[in-house]
Amino acid sequence: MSDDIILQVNNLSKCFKIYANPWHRAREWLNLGNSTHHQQFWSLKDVSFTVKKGQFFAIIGQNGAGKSTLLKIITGVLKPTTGSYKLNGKVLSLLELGTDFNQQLTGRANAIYSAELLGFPQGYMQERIKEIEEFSELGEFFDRPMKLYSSGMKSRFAFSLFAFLECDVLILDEVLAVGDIFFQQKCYARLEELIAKKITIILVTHQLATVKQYCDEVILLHHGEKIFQGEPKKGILKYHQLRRGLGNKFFSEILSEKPESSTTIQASDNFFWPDEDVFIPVSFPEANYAQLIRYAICNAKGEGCVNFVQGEQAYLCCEFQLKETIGVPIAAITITNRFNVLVHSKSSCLQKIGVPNQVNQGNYLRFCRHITFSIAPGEYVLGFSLVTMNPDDYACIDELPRAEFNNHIQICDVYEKVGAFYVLPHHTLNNQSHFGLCNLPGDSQIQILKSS
Amino acid sequence: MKNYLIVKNLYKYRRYIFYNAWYQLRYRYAGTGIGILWNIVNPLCEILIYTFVFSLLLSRGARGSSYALYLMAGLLPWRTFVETITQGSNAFVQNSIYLRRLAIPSEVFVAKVTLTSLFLLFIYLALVLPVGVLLGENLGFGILLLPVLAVLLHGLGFGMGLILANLQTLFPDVKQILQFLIPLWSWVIPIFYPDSVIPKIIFPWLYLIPPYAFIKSVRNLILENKMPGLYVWLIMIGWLCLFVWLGNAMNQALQDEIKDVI
Repeated sequence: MSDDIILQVNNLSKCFKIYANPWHRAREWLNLGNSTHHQQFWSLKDVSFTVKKGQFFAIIGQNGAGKSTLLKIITGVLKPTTGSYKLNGKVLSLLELGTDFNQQLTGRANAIYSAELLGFPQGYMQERIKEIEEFSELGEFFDRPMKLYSSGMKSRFAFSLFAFLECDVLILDEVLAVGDIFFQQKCYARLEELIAKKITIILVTHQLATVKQYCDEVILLHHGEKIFQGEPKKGILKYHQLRRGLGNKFFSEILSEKPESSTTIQASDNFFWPDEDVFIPVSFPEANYAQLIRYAICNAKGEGCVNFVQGEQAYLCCEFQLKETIGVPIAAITITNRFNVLVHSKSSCLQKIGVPNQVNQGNYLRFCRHITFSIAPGEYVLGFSLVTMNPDDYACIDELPRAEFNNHIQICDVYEKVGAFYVLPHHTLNNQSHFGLCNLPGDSQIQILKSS
Repeated sequence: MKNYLIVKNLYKYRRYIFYNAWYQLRYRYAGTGIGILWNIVNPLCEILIYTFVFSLLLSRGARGSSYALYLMAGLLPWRTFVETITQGSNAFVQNSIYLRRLAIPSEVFVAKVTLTSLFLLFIYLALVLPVGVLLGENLGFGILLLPVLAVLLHGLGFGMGLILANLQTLFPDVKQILQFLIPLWSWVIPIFYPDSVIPKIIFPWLYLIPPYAFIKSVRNLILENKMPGLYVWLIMIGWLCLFVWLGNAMNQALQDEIKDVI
């Protein structure tokens, strides 16, 4: 193992035994292991990777992908079933912070106490307590019992504590969402200081924007297996593909039978259609008329992307395969925010585009929507839907009263929660910036009248 | 090597154990009006009740007024011993937050509760002695051995607690079983009732029930200023070594499984 490598994980697997009744374990003991009364659950399967010194490393994956198990093994809490790991230094882990402090003790006492629990020598904390007190910005609360702390204060305290303890590897589990924006900035600044000191940071989080911005390398776990290691950008894309319920196996299957792009319905000359590799295949078995087979979220250059800056332009594209012959196709996108509030939805019929009167069974329909993300920073979920209308009705769509509209359309298929993307705020304010849910077009003027 | 490990672990976390044990004792009754005094009021009430029942109602306690002291000398060590066992058997479950996240040796938590009740016993003994003088007992230099006996007794409790903590984590039923086993245990050895009610022929057999030798020795020291004999010492040390060794062996063997389960 070279000096540069701080953590080396070799073919690590972890199996938990699940007993229907605790006494089944005793039965196994009595039979001296000749019979089994448990089910096996493999939380980690053959995971290997190496982390270099001073790296900002991320582990991502859905809930239950085995991230916590992996961290617990690295920190020495759990023993791996097979495989091994080598650690070239001291590891500190901030797992689910804030819950293991003694509520009756003051912050100061807890700091001293935790340092001892983590095996630091006596007096170690006294030297650093001043820095921690300052960093945490708790003021007089630092000398009050923890039970009086708000949850934000607790996490601020925990982060401050761990950021000042000496270690070679610092494991952060979902902790960077603490405090207000200013405190978060401070946390990141501190992390950068640590990185500069050649301390390795392993981050486990669902905040993919953070991963993309700070991490050098990412591994993606899925059902206990490492299915990706490399650049954060690619890892995040892969993660989004997983969120659509596609296992690794399924993924390759779909890729192998690429739909032959035969009939392009929209034959407009300047039809925008991104490169094939940007597309994310999806599978919805319960489709009725139109099967959504893939979609893409890309930036103005046509590159696959999930993080956008407020006000950035994007293309949202998808492809349907028709299972039945339908009339005039009307495609729509829906964008919902994390609270499931519909932020935007607009169908193609409102945008005066050329459409055929009929789409035949087996044909592919491609839909592309050019959009400006003038919406509040945050995480958004994208959905697609396809409806149809008979050609006569479509011809007089402008005269159709709004209330009547729903009676004249036939819904083919609605796909909610197809993909997700992020909108990030600008570092500085500009004319694309706004507060509140969305940007409303318009301009403003100011006039000053002198008092006479 | 493996036996040495437990000593090393306990030594490494000695400050944590010590500090926590003291803390637990002080704040166990936090929020109540008289706080730390409940540690003393509780057993005092119990002693009053038993004194009333045995020396006044049943009047078989031949010792008469000194029954109270007889009871104290037996009941107080028994109480702290039982506390070590019950709290010790809960130790893993109660500290699962730490065990789940930190690579901390699990015996530390059993040691913590053991030390808490040992402190409590020291306090009790310090209070019992003046009471003894008041009741007209002649205390000799033998009482200097009391702390040693207290440590040995709680060493035994530590070993048993460690075994039970492991078992209870894997088999939650153990907690319920203990709940009826402990009262039964407390009545098969003379703690509440005068030992004169027991037929003489049974006495030697009582040493087979672990804490009897310890409690008997404490009692003899306080009431009669009588040192335990060589055989009694051997029995006590035998029990202590057996259970600490058993507890440690079990803890080593089951540690990985415990962490998976907890």
